Amino acid sequence: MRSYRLHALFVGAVLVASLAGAAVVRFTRPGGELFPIFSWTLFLYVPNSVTEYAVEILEVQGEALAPAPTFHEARAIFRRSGDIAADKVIQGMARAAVAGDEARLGELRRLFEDRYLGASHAPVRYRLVEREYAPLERWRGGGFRSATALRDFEYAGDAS
Amino acid sequence: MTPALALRRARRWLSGPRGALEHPFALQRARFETAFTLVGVFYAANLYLTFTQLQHWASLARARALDPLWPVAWVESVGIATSVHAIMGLLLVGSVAAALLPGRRAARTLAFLGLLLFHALLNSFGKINHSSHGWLLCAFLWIFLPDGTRGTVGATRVGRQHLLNGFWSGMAIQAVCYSLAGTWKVLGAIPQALRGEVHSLAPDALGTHIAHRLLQTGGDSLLGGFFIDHAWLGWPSFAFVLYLQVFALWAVFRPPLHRAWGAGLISFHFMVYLTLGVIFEPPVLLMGILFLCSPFAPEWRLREVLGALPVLGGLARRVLGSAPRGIADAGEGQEGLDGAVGAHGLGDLRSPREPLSSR
Repeated sequence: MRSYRLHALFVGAVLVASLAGAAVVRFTRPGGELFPIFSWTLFLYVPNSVTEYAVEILEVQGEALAPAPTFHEARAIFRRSGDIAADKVIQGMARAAVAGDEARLGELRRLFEDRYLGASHAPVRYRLVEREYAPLERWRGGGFRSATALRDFEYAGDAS
Repeated sequence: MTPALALRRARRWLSGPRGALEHPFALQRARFETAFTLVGVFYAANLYLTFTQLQHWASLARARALDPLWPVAWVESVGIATSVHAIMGLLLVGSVAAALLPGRRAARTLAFLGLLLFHALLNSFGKINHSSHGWLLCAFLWIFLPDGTRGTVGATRVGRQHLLNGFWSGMAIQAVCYSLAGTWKVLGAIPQALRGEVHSLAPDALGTHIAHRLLQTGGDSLLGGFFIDHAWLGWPSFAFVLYLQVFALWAVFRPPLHRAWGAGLISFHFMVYLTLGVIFEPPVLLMGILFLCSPFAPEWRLREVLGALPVLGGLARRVLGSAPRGIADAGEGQEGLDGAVGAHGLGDLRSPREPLSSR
């Protein structure tokens, strides 16, 4: 009976804690998450206008690509180009580059190059760009409101 | 007020008016049998999901760089390949053990540890995917189900009630995730509405989300373009999803709604895939096991479902002219809730009609 009563209280406490924990991580953790506790702020705001970062692929194995496709457009080359996780890494790389956080940029570059570009395509020259657009407007044929090159990188195929 | 009393009051408020049970112990036994079977189904399904994850084993072992989450922060110092083999081994052993012995706490604990480490590892490549969070949280809470076989756990009312409470806890933690997702969206709409922007409750909300997502990754979806072009159809769909999400936790307290919410949220995942191209497989399986097959749900009757709807139920009852039987019936299936949130169930368990040790 005692373990039953404790279990009942434990379940109640976990449920209350999960609600409170979601609010805490929302405001204290990057991405609103301390795995596996998540705030569940998915699609929190409607993206009327967004400023995002992208990777443009300038050159693959010495061959220049013109016009330079973004990493996500280069499906014929990179197996993981449609992966949303790659997009998150790109956003993180760009934020680190903008903030001048070279250590974090180095970590994320290593991850992006090793997992998403892949050594078999090296050497790859690519560029981080910042772009502003309104999703609905761009979907209906409008372009970017602005696009700015941030920095160029070269991946030689050696992730070490 | 003690925490137990506070939780009990919260449960009663969320459950609404309840009728008296005619055969509570027979009902508890029947619910227990279903719940115990479903726990076994969950761990069998977990084994299947583990099998589908084996495809990642080789590529994970080949990885040379990670952005490790805390449960696998040790991986790089031990060596990525060695750690991956150890984690995958634990995942396999835990999944097999829990599938064979779902009643045993040691097996369930191993299964949870394997899942925690595996998903931490899989999510250590720059983005955390949330499709398995609900599964993982359920596996965590189900460590605390009673330890024993169907015969030993089901031998006493306390054992049966303990298992039902534990089963209900798995449902509730899923509902918490959905309710949080819905509530944040509604809260996020307030500042956007005040700024005059498109917000979650606006006609173009769904279309804007779809366009953003598909442009983000250069993806494609079967119905994405259609819903962007037909905002009048996307608007009520999105509002309906918000209702399902916001009130998911409330619905867990009302058994007539379990199947309806299970079907609704599974449909939501189908639509997310068809419009946004985002696939969440484990939640569909989980909502099927927990909600569509809920051991607490009474026979499906549309009037009862409508009468039990959060916020709208009163209106539905008035329009349909029925007594609040739907909510009263909620009590029938609610054995698992009583003890889960307080001492209310203990009063039932101590009823002189059947001794605690009774079979």
